[in-house]
Amino acid sequence: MKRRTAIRQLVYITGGTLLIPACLNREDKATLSLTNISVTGSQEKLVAELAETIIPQTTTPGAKAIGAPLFIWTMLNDCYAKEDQQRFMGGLVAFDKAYSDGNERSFLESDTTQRIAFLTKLSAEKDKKSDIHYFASNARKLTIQAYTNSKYFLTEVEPYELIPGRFKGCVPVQKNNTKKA
Amino acid sequence: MRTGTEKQYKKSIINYSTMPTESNTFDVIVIGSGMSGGWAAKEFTGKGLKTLVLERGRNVEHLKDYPTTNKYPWEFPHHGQVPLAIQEENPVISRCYAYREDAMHFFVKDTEHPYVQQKPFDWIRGYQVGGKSLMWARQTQRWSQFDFDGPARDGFAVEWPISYQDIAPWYSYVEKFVGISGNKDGLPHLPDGEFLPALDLNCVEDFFKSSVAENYKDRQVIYGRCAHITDPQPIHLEQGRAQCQKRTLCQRGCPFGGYFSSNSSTIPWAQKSGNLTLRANSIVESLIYDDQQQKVTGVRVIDSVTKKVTEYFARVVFVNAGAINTNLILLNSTSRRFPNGLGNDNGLLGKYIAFHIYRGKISATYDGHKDFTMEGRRPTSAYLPRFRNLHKQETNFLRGYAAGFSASRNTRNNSDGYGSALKDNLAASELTSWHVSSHIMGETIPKETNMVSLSKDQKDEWGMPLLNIDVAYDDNDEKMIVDFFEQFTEMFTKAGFTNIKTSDSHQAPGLDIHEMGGVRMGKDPATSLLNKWNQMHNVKNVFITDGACMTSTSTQNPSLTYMAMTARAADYAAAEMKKGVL
Repeated sequence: MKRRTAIRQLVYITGGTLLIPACLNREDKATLSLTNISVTGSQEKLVAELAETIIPQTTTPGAKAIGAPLFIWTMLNDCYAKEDQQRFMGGLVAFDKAYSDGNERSFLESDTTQRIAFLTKLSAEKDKKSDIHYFASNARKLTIQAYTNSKYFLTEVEPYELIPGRFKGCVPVQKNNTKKA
Repeated sequence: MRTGTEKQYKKSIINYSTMPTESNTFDVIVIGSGMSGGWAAKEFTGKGLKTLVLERGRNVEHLKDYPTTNKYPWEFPHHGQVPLAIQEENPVISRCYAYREDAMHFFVKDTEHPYVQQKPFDWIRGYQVGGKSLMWARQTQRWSQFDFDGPARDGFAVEWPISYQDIAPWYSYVEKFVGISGNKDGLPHLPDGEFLPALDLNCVEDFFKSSVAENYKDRQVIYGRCAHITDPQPIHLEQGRAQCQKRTLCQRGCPFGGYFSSNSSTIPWAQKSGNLTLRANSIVESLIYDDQQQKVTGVRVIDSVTKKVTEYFARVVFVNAGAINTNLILLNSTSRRFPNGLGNDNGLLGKYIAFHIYRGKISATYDGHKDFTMEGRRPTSAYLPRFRNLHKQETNFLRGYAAGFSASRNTRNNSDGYGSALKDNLAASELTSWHVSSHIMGETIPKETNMVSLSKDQKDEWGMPLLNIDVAYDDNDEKMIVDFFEQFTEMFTKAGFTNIKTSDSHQAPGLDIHEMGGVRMGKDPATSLLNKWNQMHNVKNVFITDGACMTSTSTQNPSLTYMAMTARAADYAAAEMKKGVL
């Protein structure tokens, strides 16, 4: 419980107010106000949970803690063409429905194992032209981008040096260059 | 708004007889504060001359106005990407490699400063104090006598009025101040300069260098000389500049002053002299020619914010507005004596615009040297000076090309799986094979048909005529690109590189950001606009020392040459002023 509170506080600080449960919003209003996309509170929650399913909180921060949901919506709103935004949003709705149709519970009500089972099945499908695939693959891509460019990743896992101060043109490869997860 | 502006503009033309007073009169006016304007400012103020620098853009002060310089990747809302709406509204500038979220505030948006593309031309501009010297690629190779001999030997354009010997001491002069990192390579076709230590070539660049040397007697791979302080000398410390920290975030403005820009170097230096007046937001509408005195007496300026028109007066005017804008200002400077633009008796002003070919790229994989990699970052790469048609004509096209070359080894993150497995995969990066690539930097032949002219009916927000740009590639350029692909495919193959891929971006002229000419130098006033001192043949107190003065383009990145020419011309002009000739 303590840990959950701590995580929630972290997200409040880094990712804004994305974690407020949608049920508190009677009209299913999103916490984000986007200029080019209309999004409901439950859609917002689904994207956040999907991101967290892909990169969960473990002993190290997950997607929500590093602000991936906000990044996904920001990129979708600002850097995607209108028709691609429509595919993403259409795919989101279809994803939610397909999940509920194929499972006893909805995506949001399911546990991580069930969610991953669905995602694994989805990615095994040969025909990836549908909007569901567009949504799932773009959400995944943006989640990974948010994570690998996050402050956590670039300070703890693969440190980014703002001021390297040096260049060496030829150094032996370090055998043990596996980074800390 | 527009009507008001035009009214104001016309009114100013009618009542343009502002009287010269102490406050609006200077010894020298320099139009533009970029690469060459900054040098003019430094030289004149250093010689005790009261100098006014007019910059059409906003002020950008070193350190203070670099808002992104210390940002980490995660601090950019779009991780570097320019939002789509901005890209769609501004297709030209969005094609520039450096127009990214971290530096977009230093570039001009298409929508704000329109021009007419009679043929596709990507005009890349930076309107601010420092101009494009803030975001340049910092490559600084000298010209050689082979380059100055080009037009005369191969029968195009006109003969250069200067030789390498004329400019060589001025290269040295500016190199010492700027700080150039390089090796003494002893090549007659790419003369050595005053160098600070070079950084390393990496293992594979060194390997390619040996391979090329073994297989070709006439081709060299060298370290690309660049304007980075690798070992600060007292002159650099005196400018407040320190050693380059290999951030390779130069386009944001450097907090160390590690690379050269007007902002970090020449402008603050000029300010320290007490002789500089820097006026930002000042669009030069025209130079004022006095029929009686048979010289230019000053310039007419539109304030870009208030649109108020003022005039400033000086004995000498240096036009360093950036090659294309220098043409615009001169074409717009009409008088009874020069109805077709200042100094333009022969009708050649705005003609013989040329540029560099940057269309061709070749890349490949190298499977050797797998036990080695690089550490840190480096702000330059390897360079291959021109080898085609160097001593004599030997191909089916005129002139030749230089090329950049770099080898790199990236890390690849495995992004398979979900949950902890994915996190582990992302954390365990592995090194890829070495990737090598090279790009062409080709000389184009200046032609009368490649030209800029004033629009007869379209004006900008400030009442300035829009510029028609009519510039295109020709058959010689196409043949050169084919040859670049052939020769580099052969060199790459001999080096054992595999997976060789060539690509022609077909990018429009202009995206090279090496536009030149229109006000060329030459010996004969009948066929050129400027003499060997960058001085207008017909208006002796006007000098043009930016890219507009170039008679031919050669292959080298041109900024170093503009700086050297500016220092040389300023020295001449100051001496003539002292003698009372100007």
